[in-house]
Amino acid sequence: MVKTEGNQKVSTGISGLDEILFGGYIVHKSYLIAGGPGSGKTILCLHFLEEGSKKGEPCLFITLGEKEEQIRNNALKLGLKLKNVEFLDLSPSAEFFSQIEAYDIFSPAEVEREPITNAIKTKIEQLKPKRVTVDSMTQFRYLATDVFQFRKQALSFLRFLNENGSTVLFTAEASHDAPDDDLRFLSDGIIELINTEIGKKLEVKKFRGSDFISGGHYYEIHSNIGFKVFPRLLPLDKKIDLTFEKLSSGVPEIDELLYGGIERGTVTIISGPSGCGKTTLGMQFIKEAAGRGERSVIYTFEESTEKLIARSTAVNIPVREMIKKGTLEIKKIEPLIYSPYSFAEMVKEDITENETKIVMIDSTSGYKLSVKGGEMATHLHALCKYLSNQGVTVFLPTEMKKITGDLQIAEEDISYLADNVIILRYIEVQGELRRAIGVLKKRLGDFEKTLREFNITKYGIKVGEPLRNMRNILSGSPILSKGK
Amino acid sequence: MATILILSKTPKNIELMAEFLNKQGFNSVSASSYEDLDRIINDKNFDLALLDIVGFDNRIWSYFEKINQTDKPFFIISNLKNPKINSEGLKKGAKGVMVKPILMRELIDLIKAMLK
Repeated sequence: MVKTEGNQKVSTGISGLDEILFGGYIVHKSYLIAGGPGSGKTILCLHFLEEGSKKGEPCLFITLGEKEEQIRNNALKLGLKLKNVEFLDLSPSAEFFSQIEAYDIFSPAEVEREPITNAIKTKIEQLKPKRVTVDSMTQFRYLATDVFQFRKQALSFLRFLNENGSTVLFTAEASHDAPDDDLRFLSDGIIELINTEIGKKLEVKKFRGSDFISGGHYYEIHSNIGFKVFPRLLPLDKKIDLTFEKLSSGVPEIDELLYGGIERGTVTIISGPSGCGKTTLGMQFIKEAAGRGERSVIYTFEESTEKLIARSTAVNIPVREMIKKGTLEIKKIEPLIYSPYSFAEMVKEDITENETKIVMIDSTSGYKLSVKGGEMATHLHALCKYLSNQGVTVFLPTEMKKITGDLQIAEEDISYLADNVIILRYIEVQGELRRAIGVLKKRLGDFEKTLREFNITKYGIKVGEPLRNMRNILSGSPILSKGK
Repeated sequence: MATILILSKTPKNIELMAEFLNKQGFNSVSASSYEDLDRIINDKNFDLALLDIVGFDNRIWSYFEKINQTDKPFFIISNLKNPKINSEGLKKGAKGVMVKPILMRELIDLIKAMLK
């Protein structure tokens, strides 16, 4: 019998899943990979074997369904070579269908159990595999005379594998007639794969002897890559001590409105109708950060990188130089390529690898349209909360459909996720269209309650004195105060 | 060592039954057609018969009578419970009717009891 020292772990072969399981599977234990057809159970197991194969460990795939050739071909398409993986193919042969192998005199439980058991025993003793996959264990159910016998046989089979030094993944195909409840009880851990409307979701239902990140984690399966898991964003993950130092916009009048600037690590919604300067205002904070040598990333959903560069350069924001110096990166997000989880993973990877200090998601409506999968506010909230706890300052330009009229911060109810809300409004004064800027919310401090005129010129953003001679400004049609 | 006659149209059934009986210490002879069956009955070279009737037509009843005349016990094996097969079979001298799949333990107890 092989002894396990402590809770030694082996990689799952999938980085996101290793993160969820805090390092991987515990050695010499057996894990049930449950899920419906097409959920990727076999692929998840193949990654586990591929990881062992790369390390030169003997690995064994016991198949009772698909043929070895079929599995190898599919694996290759996912970039998994399975070099050191041996197969024990117990799937039915073509002869079975052509009657030569068909029988009905005895039950399969009585006929097949012995030769299958012997074949497995011989292979395990000969190969001494470190990693074993059984796909699927459900097939063994038909080799048992009753439920009690099946449970006993399955348990003793898994013990035999573990005691011979193997860490085991086994799949199950639960159905109404043959639920896999018994397999759930006798496994050391359960990873459930679920197909949802938004995408494929993975959940660790049980993991004896170790902590894990609970809840649903989305995953995708791509050719040449295979399984990619996006661990759920944990806002408290590696939370850093925040100083909430004030970040200047570089425009004295905006800083006056904000009583010094916005705090580092906060989330700011810049709300306003189309074309009123939301992106430019965000860019102004980024320009100032670049001056301090800090890196920012803009995820642009609507505008092309070239347009954004040209537009910013025209208003005295030297974007090209900032990109050159590495203080700015603009990432164009093409529609419907990312799920909320893969997008969050990309943002997370960037801030971890590049120490990004400011993130602008331009815009929230673009995010909603381009990132497939509902509950936009929830996903955006989780991402912003995570970034905020990492000390990253977030800007969310948010479009309002109404050009003028009654005030509304955003089309979607996302104002709750912001620490600061800056509004930009079009106002009509004596037949002339002008712009105004104001602050509606600042969670960490006080702010100026007045509105000021806002202009974008070739020299940059210009903000005027408080508009004290007008009232009803937020209606879009201000009235000049009497006597002023 | 007693010899069991196995009749079946399915080669794998014959193979599995012969293998099983052999493990239990019995010899076996097998037939998959009326010609084979005729020959074995005429030779009387068996002690008990297990007759899987699936795939055989009505002529099988006349063979039951022939076996009965040899005084060797025989069992009918069918793939479904059918009262007609039961009554007709017992009338022709069968010791019983078994429905597939047969439980190995029950079968061996039955054979041993009949050959005692």
